[in-house]
Amino acid sequence: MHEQKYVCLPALKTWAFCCALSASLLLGGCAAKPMATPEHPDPAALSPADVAALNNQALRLKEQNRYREAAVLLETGLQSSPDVAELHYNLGVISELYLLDLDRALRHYRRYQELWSGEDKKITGWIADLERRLD
Amino acid sequence: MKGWGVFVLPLCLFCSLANGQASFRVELGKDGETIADMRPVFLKFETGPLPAISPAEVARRYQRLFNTTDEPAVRVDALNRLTNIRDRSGENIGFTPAEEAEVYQQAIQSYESILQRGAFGGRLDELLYQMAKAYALTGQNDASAKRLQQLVGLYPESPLVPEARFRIAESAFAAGNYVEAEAGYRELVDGKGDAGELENKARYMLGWTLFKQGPQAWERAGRRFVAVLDESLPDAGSLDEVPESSVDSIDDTLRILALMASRRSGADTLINWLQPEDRTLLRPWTPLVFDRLADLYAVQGNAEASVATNRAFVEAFPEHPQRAAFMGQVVDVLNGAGKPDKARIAMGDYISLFARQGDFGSLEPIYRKKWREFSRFLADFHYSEGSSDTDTPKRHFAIAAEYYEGLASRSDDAGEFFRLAGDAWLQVAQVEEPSRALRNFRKAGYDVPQYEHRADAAWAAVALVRAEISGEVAASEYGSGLEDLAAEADRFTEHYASDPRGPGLLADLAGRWLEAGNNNHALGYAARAVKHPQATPETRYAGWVVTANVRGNRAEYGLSERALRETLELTSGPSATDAMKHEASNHRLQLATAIYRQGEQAAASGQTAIAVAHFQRIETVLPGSSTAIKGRFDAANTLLRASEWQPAIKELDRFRTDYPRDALTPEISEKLVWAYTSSGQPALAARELMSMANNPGGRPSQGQERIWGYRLRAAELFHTAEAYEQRNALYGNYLATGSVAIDADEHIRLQTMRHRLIETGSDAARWRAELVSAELESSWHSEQTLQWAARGSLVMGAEAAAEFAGIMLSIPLETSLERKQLAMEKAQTHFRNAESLGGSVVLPESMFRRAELHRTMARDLMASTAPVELNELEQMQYRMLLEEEAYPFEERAIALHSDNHQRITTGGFNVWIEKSLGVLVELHPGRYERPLRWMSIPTEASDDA
Repeated sequence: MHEQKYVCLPALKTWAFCCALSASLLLGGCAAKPMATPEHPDPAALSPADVAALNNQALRLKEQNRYREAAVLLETGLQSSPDVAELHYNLGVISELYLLDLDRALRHYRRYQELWSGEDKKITGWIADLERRLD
Repeated sequence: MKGWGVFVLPLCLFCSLANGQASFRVELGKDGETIADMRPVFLKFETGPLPAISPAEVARRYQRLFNTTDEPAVRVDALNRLTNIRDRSGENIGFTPAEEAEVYQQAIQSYESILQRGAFGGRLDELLYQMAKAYALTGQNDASAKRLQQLVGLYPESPLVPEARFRIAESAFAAGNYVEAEAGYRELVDGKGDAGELENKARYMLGWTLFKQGPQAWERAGRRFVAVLDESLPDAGSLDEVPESSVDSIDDTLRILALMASRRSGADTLINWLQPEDRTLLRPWTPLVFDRLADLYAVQGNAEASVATNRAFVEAFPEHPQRAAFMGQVVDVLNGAGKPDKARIAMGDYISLFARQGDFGSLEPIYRKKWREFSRFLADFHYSEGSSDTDTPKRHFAIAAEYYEGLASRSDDAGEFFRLAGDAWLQVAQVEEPSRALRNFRKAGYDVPQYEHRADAAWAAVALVRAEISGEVAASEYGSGLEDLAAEADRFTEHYASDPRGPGLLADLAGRWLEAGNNNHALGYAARAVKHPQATPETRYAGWVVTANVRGNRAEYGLSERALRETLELTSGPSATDAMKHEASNHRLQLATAIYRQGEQAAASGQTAIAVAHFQRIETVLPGSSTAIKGRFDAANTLLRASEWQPAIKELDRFRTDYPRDALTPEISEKLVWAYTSSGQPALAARELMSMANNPGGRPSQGQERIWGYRLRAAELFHTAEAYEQRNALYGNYLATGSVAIDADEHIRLQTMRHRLIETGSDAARWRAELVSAELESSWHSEQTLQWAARGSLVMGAEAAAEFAGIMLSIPLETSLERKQLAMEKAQTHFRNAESLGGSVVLPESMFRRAELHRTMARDLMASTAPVELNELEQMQYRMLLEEEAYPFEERAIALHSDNHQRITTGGFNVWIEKSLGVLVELHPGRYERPLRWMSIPTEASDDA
């Protein structure tokens, strides 16, 4: 398991953003999108450090069995950084095992394969299994 | 005759004397036994006035002249003058009767001599007159009449003719020649000549001559006599100025008129003779003749005729002022005749005749007095009759009351008569209405300041109103109520403030107001009664009793207590009556109640200490009484309600000690339980309940059900007190009785006991099994009992699973496998029971455990050793067979875990799903092993901060 051992200022900013986002999601529902304010920066402006912090925050939510919040957070990260393969991977796993949303899992595994440098055979196996189960 | 004087009318009217005058008169006789014997009264013949010198001296000189002269004319003249002097002066002029006869005889001789000589120088008519007079004086009436007839015949124009005619008629009357006399008198009355003063005398004598002629002539006689009276008494004033000379003749005229009327038709005859008199122009003498007739009848003993005459006058002349006298005579005559009944009727007529104030006011004092005497007599008579007459007492009392009322307004003693009238009306009121009695009592009591007994009369008014209200007399037209009695009492006490009856009246009224529900009035009158300076101890007692009741009704119990203490002091005083003493115990009870109520009030207003003090001090007033005991009981209750637990517990304990057999004592335990519970002493509360269960005390009829009720409550309290040993012992004993739930509550209670026993007891497995079994069999469930049972089943399943896991598959496999399968079946049964009882709550765990049962079976099958006697091939085949046997169990395990994992979307994630997912990672890593990827956060070269 990859635990974060140190924290920098951008990471703190992202963490604060994620907390605010989580709170707004809890109150407003999963479909709600956060508004861009000085306190809540536009996701489009996230830096790579912010994306990593967001991913890790989503995994911590998963550890707390808060799967839907974790998925929302990952989706948010993908809006600003749709090409971050780890985000697709984690969102695929959470969708498959904890949300039982196999279509979504399949979609993000496939996107992960596209973004990942070189084929991940294990993932290929998962995609095949999903495709079989969905058929 | 008795009472004769009463009948005499005021003849004083006739008693005014004529001026002193000389007269000569002729006596014509007196009455006899028959009409023939009757004679008219004297007639006086008046002449001129006497000289202003002494008649005796003049007579002496004429007498000497008569004796000394021989000249006949001189002697006659002297004699005439002597006679005139005697008649007019009434003095003795010196002649004795014998001398007088001699003198006149000599005078006659002188007259005859002069007449014979024809030489008389004076008037011859006078000479004849003097001769006739001389003859008459010497008893020679015929000669006298002869000379008078000569005078009338020879000198018809002589002024002496009327007298001559009168004397001639008199002579005829005296001789019984009434027809001749009638003619003579009529000539004077009806003739052309002027008879002067003799006319009325002639009219009188004319009446007599007709009377003497017998009844056939009485009609004419009556009218002649009426004319005489009309002439003599022409007007009312003449009654006061009757000449003395006329008194007798007038009286005689009245007498003879009455006599004749009495022998004809009485009053009718009189009225007939008086006609055509206009009755409105009443003759002044009419009452006199009616009176004489009534008197005559009375003297004759004919009372009825006398009464009829009197009444006839009143009827004929209803407005006459003398009617009172006539009606009074009616009463006197009837009384004199011994006819009291008719006399009373006459009295009533008299009273009625002057009932109107105007008529009464016109009466002379003597007749007013008579009116009052009659009224009083009749009033007393009828009152007495009413008292003794049992047939018509009302009528008599009513009549008496009317008379008393009449007297009251016309008497100086009005008060007494008003009171008597009131009393009489009161007697009537016993069957009718008392309003008139009341009015009279009030008048006597308040409208007559000088009446000595006015206070008694006023009191009678009060008593009457009170009797009416009490129904002792009939209701009046006004329908007296308590307000009326109050007004009457107010009036009485205001006017007679020092009357000793006042305070008693006020106290009585206070009691009546109290009974009527008017507390304000009751209190007001009670206060007045108590404060009255004349109030007796008994009265003050009554006032205080009312005061106490009113205060009690108003919930002013402190003031009620004060009044009751005053009452009790009076009942123990030296003036206490037996009745007061008899009521003392009741008042003490009231006092205790008043104190108790004060306790209630204080308790209701949150004044706990004061309330308790009131409740507890009742014992000082009425120790041992039910009120005192209840006070003690409620003192504890008050403390309980005030949440003053320890004082309440102490008071409850004290009550139980002091009154162990009182009916309230059995309630103490429950209150103690409440107090202990509320004060955080559940163990003591539980012990009290155990005491109740073990000691029937005042509850002899309590059965096992009740006893167990106490015990189970005690168990609950032991539970609260964490005294689990005592609690569990009670639960165990109760469950041991085999109690079966008959309703949901009982089922829950039993399950609760089992659950608690499981949690703390030493025989948890047993109670768990009973709990699960009872829940499965029960028709009633609660969320809690279901969960308890589900959890119990899981535990039992887990225990069975452990047992199952502990069974090793060994040779011979069939045997061990059978045991293992039975154990697995047993565990699965518990898990399915848990699922049926706990549903989705226990389903993840149950599914996990069931899945693990299958995985264990598959693993143990795979791990079982092959029999050693098999060769290698056979062992390989045997192992392949085991794998085939184990594979379905593993598949089933994966399927169950997978199903459990699928529940993540419906039941959410939990530890049992997580465990299933963990097992799935192990059993099916290709599908379930999905490690998440953490990202490393790159460090930026330059920090914005």
